Amino acid sequence: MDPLEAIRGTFFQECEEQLAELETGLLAMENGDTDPETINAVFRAVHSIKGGAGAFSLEALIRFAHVFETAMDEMRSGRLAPTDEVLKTLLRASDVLADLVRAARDGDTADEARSAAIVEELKALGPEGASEEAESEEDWGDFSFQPLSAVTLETPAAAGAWQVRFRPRADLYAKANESALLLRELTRLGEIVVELDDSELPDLESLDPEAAHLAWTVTVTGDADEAAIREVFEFVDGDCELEVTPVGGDADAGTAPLGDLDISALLAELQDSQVPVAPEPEPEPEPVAAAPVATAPARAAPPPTEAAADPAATHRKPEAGATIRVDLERVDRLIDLVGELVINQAMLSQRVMEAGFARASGVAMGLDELEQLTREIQDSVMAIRAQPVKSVFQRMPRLVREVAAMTGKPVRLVTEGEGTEVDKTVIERLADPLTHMIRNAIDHGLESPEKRAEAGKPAEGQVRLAAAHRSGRIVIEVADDGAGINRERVKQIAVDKGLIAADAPMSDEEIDNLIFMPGFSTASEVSDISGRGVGMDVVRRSIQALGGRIAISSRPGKGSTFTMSLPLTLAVLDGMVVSVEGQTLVAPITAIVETLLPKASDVHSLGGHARVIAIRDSYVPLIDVGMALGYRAEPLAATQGVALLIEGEGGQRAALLVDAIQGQRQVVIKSLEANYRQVPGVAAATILGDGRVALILDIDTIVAVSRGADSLRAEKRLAATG
Amino acid sequence: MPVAASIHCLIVDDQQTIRSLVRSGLQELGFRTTFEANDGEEGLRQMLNRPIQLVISDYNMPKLDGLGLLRAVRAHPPIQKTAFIMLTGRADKDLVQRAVQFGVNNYLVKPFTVATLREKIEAVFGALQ
Repeated sequence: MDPLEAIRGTFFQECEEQLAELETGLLAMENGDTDPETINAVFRAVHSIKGGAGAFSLEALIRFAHVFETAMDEMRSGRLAPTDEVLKTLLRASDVLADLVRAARDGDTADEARSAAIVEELKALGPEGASEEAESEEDWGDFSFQPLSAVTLETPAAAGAWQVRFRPRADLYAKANESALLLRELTRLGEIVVELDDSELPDLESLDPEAAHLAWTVTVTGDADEAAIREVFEFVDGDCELEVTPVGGDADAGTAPLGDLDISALLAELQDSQVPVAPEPEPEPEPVAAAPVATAPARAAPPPTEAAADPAATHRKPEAGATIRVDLERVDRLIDLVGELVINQAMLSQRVMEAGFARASGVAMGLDELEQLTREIQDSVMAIRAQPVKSVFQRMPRLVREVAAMTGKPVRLVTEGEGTEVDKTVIERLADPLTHMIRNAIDHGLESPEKRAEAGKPAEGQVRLAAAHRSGRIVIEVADDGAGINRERVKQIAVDKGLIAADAPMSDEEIDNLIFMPGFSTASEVSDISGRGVGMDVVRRSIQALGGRIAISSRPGKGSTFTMSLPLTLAVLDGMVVSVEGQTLVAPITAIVETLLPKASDVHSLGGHARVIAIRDSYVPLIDVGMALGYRAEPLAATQGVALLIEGEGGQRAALLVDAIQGQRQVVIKSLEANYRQVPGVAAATILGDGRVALILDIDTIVAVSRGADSLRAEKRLAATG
Repeated sequence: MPVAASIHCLIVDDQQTIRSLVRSGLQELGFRTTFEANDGEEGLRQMLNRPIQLVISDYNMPKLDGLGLLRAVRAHPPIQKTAFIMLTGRADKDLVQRAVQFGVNNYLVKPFTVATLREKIEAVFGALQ
């Protein structure tokens, strides 16, 4: 790839980070943060985008960023107060800047009228007569720059000299290492001057031939860096005292090891002046430069005795938060391969068992270890794909601003648990449903400011977006403090649209759930914001496609809460392997509450094939999985099978009747949709240890058969595919 | 060895894009050894631990900005003679003037061409080839 093209890619990636920082900073300022560093960070974000854009001649972006930067500069220098009004303009400007960045990246054009309008607003904030063009450096005249006479280019030796203090311990010799060879190795790196320190050499009579008595000071002159010098001593690390210090060009530098220099002290010396220096020097800076991460592990655990002798080496550690960017495809390839490895390992285990090895045999135990390792590899690889939900959450403030402006409802967005991690694919596919739900929450959930005032609520509505890990899944909530679901109206609409019978007896919960039905829309008139012919049914389907569930709870006058529960990864699943009519199926363990052997006395027929089973004090529907999937026409006698008691997200329970349980296993999910087509009642497929394909049950769809208003339709769907 | 190849250059900027652009420009000019730092503090740490002959540093950075780095360099004898070129995002005469007071060797306004980069470096070191 053209290097400039690659840098361009980096630029747009960095722009996303800077845009996020910009928005975070502005929002913090809106919440009263007046830290000059926050203002400067915002300025810097705009400034950096402009700087990068300049390198790639992205004119529209440069022009806009310049005006934005000028306004931020006014604020930075205290000439422009960060009032609410001003910050709202800046936030809108950040939205336009984001649009312009994306337009530049994709070669599109952004909304010019909108950007022109904001430019005018920004200019009004800026100093009078500010131009849209950057000032020119032509009329600067001459500066008297510092001449280079002092820089010692001609004698790079002085700049590239190192002093090596090397004191072997007895262990070094005991391990058959030889000091002379190490010193000779140093000559490879440049010219060396060696000085022997024999001050600790005892008299011949008291000499212990096994002990170490000598030390050397070596000055190495040449191009070698510290890492190269330390590499020479890599194999005797821990068996010697080693100090490597640079020798500067100055006479006084040779004696003062620079590695020990306290940067904060150096910076503190500068504090008195008017020039801005680091406001908060780190209390304990690492005295040594961030070494390339690759070289660090070799010295990761020096023996404690060395700590005093070599602070430079002991403090060396990889830079905190060091990251690398990796192509997602490579990670996915790795995940695929690990998936194959898991399947392969399962197949191998099965063959070994079939071959009659005892559980305690070396082969079987080795396989157990392999299984453990495979699982660890899998977890580690999955962790690479995990990302904090922040990346999707941080898109929402802008959405809220826009929808608030369109509806005229003041809204405050509160986010929690932004650092909660989940698979990248889940995050990407969350964006649309979340967007839709937040639009809905503002458009339909929140009342108008007048109505809120009447109800004694603050005029500003609140939408809360929260994420948390709960029992191996991620739970995301979208809550508003609006009027709650108007059940009268919801029911009326459902009746009008023929979705339910007018006299159908329904609980509040069932009415609330009507909004998830296809074609349902509560908006009395189709608004620009949430009415796009897409309803909550689409949201539910996209959540279900991710293996998740969504539920609603609503309290009149208090607001509504949508709760989504999603798997942390789409690649593996802990499953209960069961057999039904000779077929092997997998039920997700997370849905299973308990398993039980039904007694004839506990099972009651409700007429037709409908049955319920008594579990302790309650009755739950008993669903014959074989019937539901069309494997058999006549239901299995309950006493001949095993029941899996399952619980849906809304707390509804059912018992799935299967023929037998084979065991628990972690299975690799293979999409059925990608390889065949979507089958109701089946979530995905997997490959078992013996190489056969097994279907993974979609519990929620199967449960839907047993309850609620859409049971009939679902039953027909299931029957049609059977 | 051509002059450029013997100069170890440290690029200090909080933007990866700019660091890459400077590095790519330097490579075109025959530089072989370049190091990069994210902010002034990290730049200073690197300078204390490896021989650097030229620093090309941005002005506006978190932690320690370009002027702060320049002052720290000039205040510390072992590294005080290192050539220092300041990168500025906008043509800011006041800033360059302040940098001159603290002993900057030259400045470079973003965006820059490889030709300008060469011109500024040659103004410090003389002809590169």
